Amino acid sequence: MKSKAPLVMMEQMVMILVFALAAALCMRAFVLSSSLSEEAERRDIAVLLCENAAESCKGMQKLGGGAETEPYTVYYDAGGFRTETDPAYRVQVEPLEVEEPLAQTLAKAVVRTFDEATGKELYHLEFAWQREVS
Amino acid sequence: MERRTKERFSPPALGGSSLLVVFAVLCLTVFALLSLSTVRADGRLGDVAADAVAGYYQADAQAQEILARLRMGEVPAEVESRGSVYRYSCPISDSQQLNVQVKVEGEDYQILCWQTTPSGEWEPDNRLELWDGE
Repeated sequence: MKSKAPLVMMEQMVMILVFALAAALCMRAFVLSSSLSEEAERRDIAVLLCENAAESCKGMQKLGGGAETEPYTVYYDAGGFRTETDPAYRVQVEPLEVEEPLAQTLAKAVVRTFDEATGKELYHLEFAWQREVS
Repeated sequence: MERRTKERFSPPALGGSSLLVVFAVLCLTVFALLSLSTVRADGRLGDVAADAVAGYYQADAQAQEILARLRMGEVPAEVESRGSVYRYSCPISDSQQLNVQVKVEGEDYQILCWQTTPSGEWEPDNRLELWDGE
């Protein structure tokens, strides 16, 4: 009777090759999923940071501050907490021009969140608030 | 003794490793597809949330601009007025709007209502015949 061992060996080698190919393809899919997930997370945090900056800017107006004249920048870490060292996000608030005579009662600004590592803008938001007339 | 062992030894059945590899590849493919579809769904949800935030702040800025015009003594066409109380709405999306009601006296103002509401008409579902007590 002829031995089946070479046939089994050949089958196993072919299967290892098939498995390696499939594993490589699936690994690429997992890596793609991971990068898309990280990108979505960064964008979600950027949206939240823009909202927070816009609302704090409006709130500061009531306290006599705000971004009416000077742009300002705040840094946040990967978890979305304010930091000065090793930041992951940069939030910039810049005042926008408002035409006269509306500028007497209205202020506008744009808040942008950047990925600090790549410098890419993740999200931006324009907002407006009432100027308190003294 | 050695001869007996040699006689007893038989190679693994043909096709066993193929079955195992097919099962493993199937599992890997299913998990890879699931992770990709989850990430894509997550991304779509994030897009919707980001669009909703952008829509709200756009409507908010529009409402602030109308309020600023009212404070300057100008009454835009879309504003309903009743004495010193003004009412207007700004669209956020196809299904939502920002309803505003303000009391303006000169440059002083008081916000009575600044509320997101559904913009469509509510239609009660009367298909079920419920017992009305009689």
